[in-house]
Amino acid sequence: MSSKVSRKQFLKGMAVGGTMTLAASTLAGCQKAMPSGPVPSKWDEEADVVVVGTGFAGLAAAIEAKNAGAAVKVIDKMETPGGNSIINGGDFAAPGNWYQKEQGIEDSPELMLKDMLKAGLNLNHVDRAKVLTEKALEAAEWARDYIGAEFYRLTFHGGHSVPRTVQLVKGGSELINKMLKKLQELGVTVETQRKLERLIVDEAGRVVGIEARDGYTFGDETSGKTIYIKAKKAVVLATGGFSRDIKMRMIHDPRLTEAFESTNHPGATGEALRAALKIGAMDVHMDWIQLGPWASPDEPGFGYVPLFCERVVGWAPMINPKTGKRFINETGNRKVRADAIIEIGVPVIIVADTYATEKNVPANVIENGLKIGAIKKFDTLEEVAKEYGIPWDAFKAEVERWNQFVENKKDEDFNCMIFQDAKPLGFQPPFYAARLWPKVHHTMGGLVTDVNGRVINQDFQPIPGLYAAGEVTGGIHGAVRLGGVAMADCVVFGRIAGKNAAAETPAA
Amino acid sequence: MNAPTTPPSPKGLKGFIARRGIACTIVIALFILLVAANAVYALWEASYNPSFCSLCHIIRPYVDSYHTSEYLDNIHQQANVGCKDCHVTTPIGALQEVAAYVTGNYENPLKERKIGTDVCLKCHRSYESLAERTAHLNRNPHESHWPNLRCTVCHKSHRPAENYCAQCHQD
Ligand SMILES: Cc1cc2nc3c(=O)[nH]c(=O)nc-3n(C[C@H](O)[C@H](O)[C@H](O)COP(=O)(O)OP(=O)(O)OC[C@H]3O[C@@H](n4cnc5c(N)ncnc54)[C@H](O)[C@@H]3O)c2cc1C
Ligand code: HEC
Ligand code: HEC
Ligand code: HEC
Ligand code: HEC
Repeated sequence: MSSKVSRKQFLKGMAVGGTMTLAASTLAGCQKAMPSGPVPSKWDEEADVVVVGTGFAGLAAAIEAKNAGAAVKVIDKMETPGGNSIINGGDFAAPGNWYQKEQGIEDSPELMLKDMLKAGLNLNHVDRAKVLTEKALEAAEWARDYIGAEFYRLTFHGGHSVPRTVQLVKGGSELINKMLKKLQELGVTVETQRKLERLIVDEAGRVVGIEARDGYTFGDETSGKTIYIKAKKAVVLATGGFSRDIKMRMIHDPRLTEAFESTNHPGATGEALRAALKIGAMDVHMDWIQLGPWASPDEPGFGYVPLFCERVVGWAPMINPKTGKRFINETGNRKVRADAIIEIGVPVIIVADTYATEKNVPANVIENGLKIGAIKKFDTLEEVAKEYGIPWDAFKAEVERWNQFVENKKDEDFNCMIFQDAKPLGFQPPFYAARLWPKVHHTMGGLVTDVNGRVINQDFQPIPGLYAAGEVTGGIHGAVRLGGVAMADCVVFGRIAGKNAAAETPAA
Repeated sequence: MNAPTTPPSPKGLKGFIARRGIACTIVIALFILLVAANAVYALWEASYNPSFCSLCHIIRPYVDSYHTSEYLDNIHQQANVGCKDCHVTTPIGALQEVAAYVTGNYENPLKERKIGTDVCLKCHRSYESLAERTAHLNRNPHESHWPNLRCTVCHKSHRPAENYCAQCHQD
């Protein structure tokens, strides 16, 4: 009889059980950070909100925290502020933006979310991605109107279904320098050469400040002296990605040895992210490290070749110099292309004729690329083969095959998108060519945060007193970050983190 | 780095005492106090003269370089710019340097300090005016991502200049 449980009772039982598990997990998983060492008996300095990092995310957080009434401190370990943000291309994804309206392009947050999830292989943390797409336009308008940064055009990036990135004049430095100016007006000084070494946690498990090295010189770990900065309300981590941290990136993707250069600023290392892990923060997608397949081994940093390569794909073929054959969809995503080049093991060749080049690539890119030797000019394809050691007969046959695809506007081998105005290679000599070898460009992975910018711990609970925003966080892009979305992410969540940090009640 | 060097010497007060004996150390310590008490001003005045700097063996290579090198120091020597125009310091700072020297509490070659743009811009006006002078260069070094980049990131004073932009731009 007692075994005769009615359906209704059974369901009730389930519900109770469910609540109990939830309660249990909340109990076990307190909103707490792990201790990281002693809390200093005396602090050297203090502020309500301590922001670490001076890229888009950190400066956006600092401005919002200050405007919400908090006393703010901003530090950066490098001598120059701005991290990757100040060298970035300045493309900001904003659905429904003013240029789109002018040009009659239909767009929406929903469409952008769809694009992000597709590129991200649905690994994206959808709740945050949704907030990003809904607030991106407002963030771009804030950058334009409140900060006073100048945008000048609408651009298109692969993976977006419409042109939706607004571009800053002079790239990311335009926004960073105007944000620095705004902070100065607000009376917040940015303190460079101060490196975060440890997040300090009190007995209650709350982040209450940081240990830093003051007067630090990048690369000299003994430089400067230890200071303790109290954060009465919260610490905001906005320390960027770890593309230049060879040891750390090799843990997550062992292929990425020192043989791979990076497009990033030298300070893109992961010690601040690890400081958060040490106090119990959770990380995600750490091995999704984006390589730029358009980079050249014949010039430092980002360089000119990306601006050549990315404009001629879909117009010109990419060749494996060992076989003389094509090997990949040239217009495919960054991940697929970079993996294919690494698999080949030597730099591959992109070759375009004058027609495709002049139609798509700014003249100064070619001029400067030729001057430094990263782009080369040839009268004939045979000379191209000779220069790069490509087997001529195979190469010649492959070019004929490619030209057939171009005539038919259909690539039967790799399904490359062939542009309407494209013409067979050799339509108008001479030829321009460059070697391609991927460079480490972006780390999609990082700290898990919630929609409020709070850092989540190993018990799925927010860590009191700790926020994070920008490239140091993970999850939002999933497997592949689309062009222009990093900026939107940094400004949207930087602002959210700054506001919420300022609204915290100070630790007892 | 091509910074001028002199032979190494043991570091710290201990090394100094070992080398010169306790009596000598006390005499020197008293001397410093005396200087501190009475002669700050005279010392300060004298320190404007480059030959004053060369009293310390560790500084001599810099003075030699100032007079004979192909570097920025010599260009400034020819323009009558003295050590102290760039090495702006307070009397107390100068005393600390003397104390550090006497006790051997310094690195050899000396660790380079960072001199802010304000020091150079006392004479060189502004980044805007400098940008005009180098506008002919392909990538204007005085008009970059960082509007207040420390001059000495590129213009080393006692050794050849370095091109900071070259880590990312080859031209
Ligand atoms: C060449 C290039 C071009 C790009 N172009 C675009 C683009 O057009 N559009 C787009 O959306 N994205 C682009 N990106 C990506 C985007 O720029 C970055 O993801 C973004 O700038 C990251 O901003 P952030 O604020 O998170 O970090 P960053 O701007 O990198 O700032 C982090 C700061 O934290 C500091 N820091 C790190 N560790 C510590 C520590 N321990 N203590 C103190 N300070 C520390 C660093 O020194 C740095 O200044 C580009 C990236 C590169 C490299
Ligand atoms: C840490 C790397 C790095 C350093 C150092 C660096 N740059 Fe750049 N710079 C870049 C990158 C990357 C771009 C291109 C961004 C893009 O187009 O995506 C760029 C672009 C530029 C541009 C073109 C901006 C525009 O108007 O489009 C200029 C000019 C420039 N840099 C000047 C300089 C000068 C001068 C220096 C030295 C003071 C310098 N850069 C140092 C990375 C760097
Ligand atoms: C044009 C400005 C200028 C002048 C003039 C100049 N210096 Fe320097 N000096 C510097 C700078 C800047 C540095 C830091 C290293 C660098 O950037 O080259 C430096 C470094 C030094 C150092 C190494 C320790 C330190 O403080 O960094 C010594 C010692 C030194 N100078 C001595 C002298 C002496 C002595 C003279 C005069 C004979 C002199 N300098 C003249 C600019 C100058
Ligand atoms: C007391 C004034 C003064 C100070 C301080 C000073 N300079 Fe100069 N500097 C001059 C004069 C005068 C010249 C020669 C005329 C000219 O080229 O402007 C000169 C020349 C130069 C030149 C041109 C060299 C060449 O090849 O022709 C450079 C570069 C320079 N200074 C850099 C600096 C830097 C960097 C600092 C700070 C560490 C500095 N100066 C501090 C006065 C000064
Ligand atoms: C990013 C590197 C860099 C920085 C930072 C930099 N300069 Fe220069 N500077 C250069 C280069 C490169 C030249 C050109 C040298 C040449 O033509 O041989 C130059 C030239 C000069 C000249 C000579 C101009 C002429 O008429 O030929 C002066 C004076 C000068 N710089 C002063 C400064 C001062 C003062 C600062 C700091 C406010 C500064 N520079 C910062 C790289 C730099």
